[in-house]
Amino acid sequence: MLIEAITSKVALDWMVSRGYKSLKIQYGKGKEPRIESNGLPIAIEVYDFLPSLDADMRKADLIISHAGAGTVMEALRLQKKLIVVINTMLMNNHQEELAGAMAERGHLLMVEKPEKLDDNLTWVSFNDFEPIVYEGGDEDSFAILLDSHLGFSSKKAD
Amino acid sequence: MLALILLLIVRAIYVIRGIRSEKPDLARRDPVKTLVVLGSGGHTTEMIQLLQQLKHESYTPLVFVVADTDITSMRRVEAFGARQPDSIYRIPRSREVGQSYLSSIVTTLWSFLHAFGIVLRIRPNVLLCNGPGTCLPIAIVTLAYRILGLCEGRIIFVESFCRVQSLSLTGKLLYHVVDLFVVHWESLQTKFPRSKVVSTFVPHRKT
Repeated sequence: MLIEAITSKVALDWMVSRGYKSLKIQYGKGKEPRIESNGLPIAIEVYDFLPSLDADMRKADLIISHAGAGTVMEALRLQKKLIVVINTMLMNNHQEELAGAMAERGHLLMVEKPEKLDDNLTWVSFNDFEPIVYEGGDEDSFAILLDSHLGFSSKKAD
Repeated sequence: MLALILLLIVRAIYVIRGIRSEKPDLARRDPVKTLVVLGSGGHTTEMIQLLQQLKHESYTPLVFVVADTDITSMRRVEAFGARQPDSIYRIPRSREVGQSYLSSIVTTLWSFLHAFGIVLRIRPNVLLCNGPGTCLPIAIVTLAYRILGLCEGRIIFVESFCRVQSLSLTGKLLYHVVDLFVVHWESLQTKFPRSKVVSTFVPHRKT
């Protein structure tokens, strides 16, 4: 669903109009999708799985994905522009909670179903999106809580 | 026999009341033997990140329990360059993804049986777990041994930071019987007042 939506004419036209020159797609399980750029100046590459998406995510200017927590957090950590498209085929997918909360804080954009991407206006609405940078948390917050709960002095050992 | 049962009940009530009073310990000098259940996948990654900030000298020895079918957790520990445990135990998983209801009863009992042996050998001061189901037998058995006076068995459950509005099933089951229930979102803390919120992954909103 998502793959069709981001390779439709509407989607590719928008990408070209925004100056994107290359589109990489990890399609996961299932058959390799047949995608044509229809003469548009955008290079499309597909792969099923890479051991790590890290290198491609670092190079990307825009990342479009489902709400998987791993992908979402990695994209935010790399301070990338991220659009999360809800996978309506999954029932009770609690990972949407995380993406929703991050969207509410302005760190990413959320699209509630892939069909929305058939509409040119959805794509145009991405034009002005400037995410608020995700700063990460206080790493030792948990250690401080646990130390105090167990009665360890909270002072750092020298 | 009846007296023994009564004694056990009284002891159980005493322990659970102690847990629910939520009084932090006054002062502790000796290190705590720490048992950590690595739940696989994202659960393991989150746990590694939580462990990274704990003082080595306070939380030692460190023991890991990993599901026997889980081959990636220990690789992740290495990949993160995280602290290696002093020992590792394997436990049969209570339920694989997609397993039928009936057969999961059998496998759950089987992993409980293993949990009795594992926890008895370790007798942890502190149990750290963050789901999913794999940690349930370990947590329940630790509580049982604590009631029997076999170990200190303080139980710390950390909900996944993916949980913003609702608890996981394991979280729901353990909510009332753990010493410390940790969540990452204020929205979740308000719904579950026993829990404590940390900002390890999610910075608190400045008000």
